[in-house]
Amino acid sequence: MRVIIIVLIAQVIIPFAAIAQEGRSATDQSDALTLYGFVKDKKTQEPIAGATIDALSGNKESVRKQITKVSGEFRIKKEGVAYIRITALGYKDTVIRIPGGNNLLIFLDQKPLLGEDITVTAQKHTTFTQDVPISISVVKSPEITERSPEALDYTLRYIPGVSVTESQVSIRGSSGYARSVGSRVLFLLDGMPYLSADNGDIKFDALPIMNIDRIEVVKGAGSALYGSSALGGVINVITRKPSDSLHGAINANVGMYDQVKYPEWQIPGLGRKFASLEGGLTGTAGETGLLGSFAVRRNEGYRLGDDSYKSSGFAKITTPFSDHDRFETSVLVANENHGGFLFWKDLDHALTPSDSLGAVNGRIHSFKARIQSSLQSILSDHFILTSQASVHYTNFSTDPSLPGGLPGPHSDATNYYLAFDGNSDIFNSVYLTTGILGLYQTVNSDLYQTHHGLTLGAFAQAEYRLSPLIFTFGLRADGVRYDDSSSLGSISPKFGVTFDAGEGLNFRASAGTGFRAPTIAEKYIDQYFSLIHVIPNPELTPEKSYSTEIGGSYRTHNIFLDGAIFYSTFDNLIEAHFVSNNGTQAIQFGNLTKAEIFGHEEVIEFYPLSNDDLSLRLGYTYVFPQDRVTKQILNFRPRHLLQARAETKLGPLTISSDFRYISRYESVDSILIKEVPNGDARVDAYILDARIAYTALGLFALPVTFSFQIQNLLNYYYVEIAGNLAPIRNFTLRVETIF
Amino acid sequence: MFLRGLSPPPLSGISTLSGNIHFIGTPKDSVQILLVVLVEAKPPFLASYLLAGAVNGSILATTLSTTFHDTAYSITVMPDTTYHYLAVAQKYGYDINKDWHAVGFAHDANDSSLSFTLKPGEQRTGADLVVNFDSLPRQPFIP
Repeated sequence: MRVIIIVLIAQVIIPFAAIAQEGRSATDQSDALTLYGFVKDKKTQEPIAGATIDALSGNKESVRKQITKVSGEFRIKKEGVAYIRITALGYKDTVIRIPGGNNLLIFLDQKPLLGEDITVTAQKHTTFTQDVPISISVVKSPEITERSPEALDYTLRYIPGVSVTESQVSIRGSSGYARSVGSRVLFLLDGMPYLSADNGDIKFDALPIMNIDRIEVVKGAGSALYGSSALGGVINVITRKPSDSLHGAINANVGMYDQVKYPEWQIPGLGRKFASLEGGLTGTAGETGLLGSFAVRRNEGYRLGDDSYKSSGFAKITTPFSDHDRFETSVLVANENHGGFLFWKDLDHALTPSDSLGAVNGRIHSFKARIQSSLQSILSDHFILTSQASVHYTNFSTDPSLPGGLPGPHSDATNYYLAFDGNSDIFNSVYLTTGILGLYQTVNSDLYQTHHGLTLGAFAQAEYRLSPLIFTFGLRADGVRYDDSSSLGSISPKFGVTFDAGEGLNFRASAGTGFRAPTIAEKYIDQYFSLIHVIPNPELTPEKSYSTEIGGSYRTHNIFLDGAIFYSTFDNLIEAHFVSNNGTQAIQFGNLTKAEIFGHEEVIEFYPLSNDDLSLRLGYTYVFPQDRVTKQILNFRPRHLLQARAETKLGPLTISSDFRYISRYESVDSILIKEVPNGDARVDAYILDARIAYTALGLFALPVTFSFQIQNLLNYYYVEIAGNLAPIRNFTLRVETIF
Repeated sequence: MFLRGLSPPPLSGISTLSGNIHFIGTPKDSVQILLVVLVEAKPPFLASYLLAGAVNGSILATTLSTTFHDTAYSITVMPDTTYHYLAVAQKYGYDINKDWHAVGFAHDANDSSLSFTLKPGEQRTGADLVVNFDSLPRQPFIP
């Protein structure tokens, strides 16, 4: 604890030292023996912040170092310096002889090997994926937009090791499906928690698909850096940065679900059409970058009572307060109105909602609003302070299920988040990441009543580089308190090591812990669902996980191989179960399950041609998830998960295809089976998608891309949860232009 | 057919009971929930049994519209299970444990019980119900 306090005090003291240092730097500007310059990306011309300028002597020994500012600027004394070496993540190392003059403009070439990517999530600072001791997957913008016509959860289904059951995300089997249980994967938007305050769930429909730059998936327990909910891993959605010049994009999608094959399932008069319109603008005014987008979506659905209207907006502003500070704030709002389809009537009527008591829902209206801001301050050449704050509001209400009946449940929930992170390489070969944070939750609902929650956390992580090894040690302490109840605490340590064997070969090993505090919904729900009383359980305690992994990767310019074996144990998993309540049966959440998951995962990426015109990718994940007490297979965990992708470019044409295989759930929730007619009906899933895109110059010489996509080409019928047929074959025509 | 996934079960798989409901008059109190219930137990029973029955599967129920227009209904029935009571139940108050009326029987008012068992795949029709809000039938619930 003393170490943590010292580090936190250092975060406060260092700014003053840095300001003093900058004062001296200003006077140096008139010094003719100082070299001034900028480092930029050769392709995009954008400044490169954080590049290391290593001043070398005549025999190329390091004399002094400096890091470029947000503007890409550096200034370094020329005394005793013959060369400078510039190194930056994702770029080729560059060494140049210093010129006779005092000004220098340096352009760096990008240098990605296949699978060599950067991540900001794994270690809470920018680093290469091969330098972190755990498995990472990164998905970039083009694949996100083509796979997510409706919401981002579609894209997650194609990431190796990730499965999605309805909207609950599981990484390597960490989560099954339990209605109303919070997420066991921590979901972040630009590094800040993106889970609702009541259910602890992910509002996928509010995420701005058009403006998502990439998604980073960190696999394995991650609470040592991220705290609650990082039980099975962390998913960070990173939005685009505003562009330097004015750009815009607009796209329109129209599509339709196919007719089902079986007359018993067909519903005369059901529209089955869907359409969406998205648009956005970005640019920079002075030094202030602006970015905004909107989306409206209408989906008539392929099931009766499952249609939706969605609209959302997103805006982002970035501005440097000075050469050393970058401020960023973003706002998103989303509105949704959708039918109350809960599960099917029975397998004879798979697209018809059940009319049994408990399954009839009125239309659900939901609204989400979020504002988040961050200030990144380069306080010295060796210390960056990032201050973050967000407010995340969610609301839903339900119409009466029958005309003239009572309204259904409603909830208002808000998360207030504040965090301060520090990144420092002040000690030679040691990179320190530290932080403190607070999360305040407030919920007002007829389901969960009125409750408040407060989470406080502090963490520290050290990465020690002893080339070719990098060791990582981390520790985090969290305290969670609801209303006036006693506090729940968790200490989450981690350890990891990477080994760079050279020639693109890397190995990694890690052990970490995760925890998930029970959500307000799980603790305090007190409501009848149909005729069944769901009663609160204020005694719920946090879920815990311990995960270990050993893996390795090999990358060249046209092939990437990655493999890992992993083992995790879970304690106190929260699930719903029947209990006796005053002589009648009721449902209550309890800390029920002790589980363990063993598995392995392999990823192959291959570019067989000398250019990038043909790419092949294959991911396979095997998990063996069992209850440690009963030895039963855990619910809703597919044992085999296979994802494959092929893409080829033929001039203006791009043709791509995705295939997913999800093995049949060996076990599902017994409560759901009891509630849902034919709830036990489930099969292996084979899902094939295909798309073709053609780009041409349109009006005003603007590039226009026409694409046609078929999802679930085989029109294969399967379920993700009991009594819910997954989307049937559907066709989408998309037109997009960028200006 | 290669890879077609789930399909409707063979006709022999599901047993259903169906019929028509005829409404007479208007309700005298509020109708928060209106449903057809098919009950394993013989009346009389406590109103709270509706809760327990829905949980343990001994009661099957189908929700009806509260517009009170004549309508058809269909309930998926567990085969080889004997049911003793078929009625339309109305929740009229806020206490879900107690505030229930029976508003229509499958049989006449003097014979509130019914006993039948469906075989697997049997589709029994003609189980018609009459709901007369002006003259409620004998109640199955223990006061």
